[in-house]
Amino acid sequence: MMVTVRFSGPIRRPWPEASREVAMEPGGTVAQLLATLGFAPQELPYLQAARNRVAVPLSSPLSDGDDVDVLLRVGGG
Amino acid sequence: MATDRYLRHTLLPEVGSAGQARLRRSSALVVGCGALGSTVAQVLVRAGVGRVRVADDDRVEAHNLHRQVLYVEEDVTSGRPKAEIAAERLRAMNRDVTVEAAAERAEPDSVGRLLSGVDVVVDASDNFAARYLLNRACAARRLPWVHGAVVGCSGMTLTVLPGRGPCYACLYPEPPPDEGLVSTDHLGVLSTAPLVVGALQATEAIKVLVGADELEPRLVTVDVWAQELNWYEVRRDPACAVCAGRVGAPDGGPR
Repeated sequence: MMVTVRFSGPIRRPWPEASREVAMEPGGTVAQLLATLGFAPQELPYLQAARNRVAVPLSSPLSDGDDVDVLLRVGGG
Repeated sequence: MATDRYLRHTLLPEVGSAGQARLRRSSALVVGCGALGSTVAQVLVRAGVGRVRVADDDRVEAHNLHRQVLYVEEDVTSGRPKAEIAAERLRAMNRDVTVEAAAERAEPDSVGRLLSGVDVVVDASDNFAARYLLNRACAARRLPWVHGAVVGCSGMTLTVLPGRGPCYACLYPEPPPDEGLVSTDHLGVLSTAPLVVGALQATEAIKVLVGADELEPRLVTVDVWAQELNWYEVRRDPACAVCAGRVGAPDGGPR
C-alpha cells in the first residue's frame, strides 16, 4: 500500500522535500513506517503522528492512501 | 485610563462590549515567564483581563533576551525573579489590571495556590513535569488550560477543556525519556517562534474568557520559518486515567 508522509518542524528528515509517497506492507503501523524510514526505536518517544489530520499513537495501523504527518514533540517554553 | 482604551476590541463581533466586560471580570494564570509567558502575559494584560497571575522561579539570563520580550539587559545583573520583574512591567502596561507575581514553580505543593481563583491557565512552562501536573490539577477543577511549547522555528498549542474534550495525557500518555533533547537548550529557538505561539495561546485564553463558541481541542502546529500553520484533531483516549478521574489532582484537589 502507499501512504503520503510529511515531516514538520525541527525533525530529522529522510529526504529533502516536505512530503513523499512511501510504499509499505498492508496493515503496517506508524511506528513500522518510521522504522522503514530509518528512525531508531529510541527516537520514537519524541515523535507525534497524525493520520489524515487526526493525532494518533504510533501504534496506529495505516491504510492505503493515508496522509501521515510526523511532528517533533516540542518541549521548550 | 480613557474609556476608549479597548475600542478596537469592542468593535469586534468576536469580543464586543459584553466580551470586554467579561475579560475585565476574569482572571488568568500564566505558568512560566519565559518566551511564551512574556508574550501571553503581555497580551492578556493589554487586553484588559482583570487579574493576571504570573508564576516563575527563574532569573533572567543573557541568552533569554533575544526572545523574552518583557526583560532588558539590567535584569540579567539584578538577580531578581522573572515573575517580579514581569509583574512590574505588566502593571506599567495597564494599571487597570491586577498583576500578581508568584516566584515559584508549578509543583504539587504550589499548584493549588497558583490555580486558586483563576478562570483559565496558560502553560508557558518549559518542562513536561509542569504540563502533566497542570493537566491533572486542571482536570480535577474542570479548569480550561492552554498548552504551548516551542523549539527551533516551530511550536504547538492545545486547548484543553476538561469534561468537554481530550486532555494533554490523551495526546501524550507519557513524557519523553529525556526532555532535554526537545528543549530550546538543545535545539535552540528562533526569536519569533514564541511570539507566534504565545499569540495563539493568548487568543485561546481570550476565547475561553469571553465564552467563545469556537473553542476546539485541536493540536495546532506552526513553523514560522516555513510559514506553515496546521491543525490536527485530537480525540479523547477512552483509556485515559486523567479523564476517567482515576488519577486525582496532584495536590489533593480543589479546596
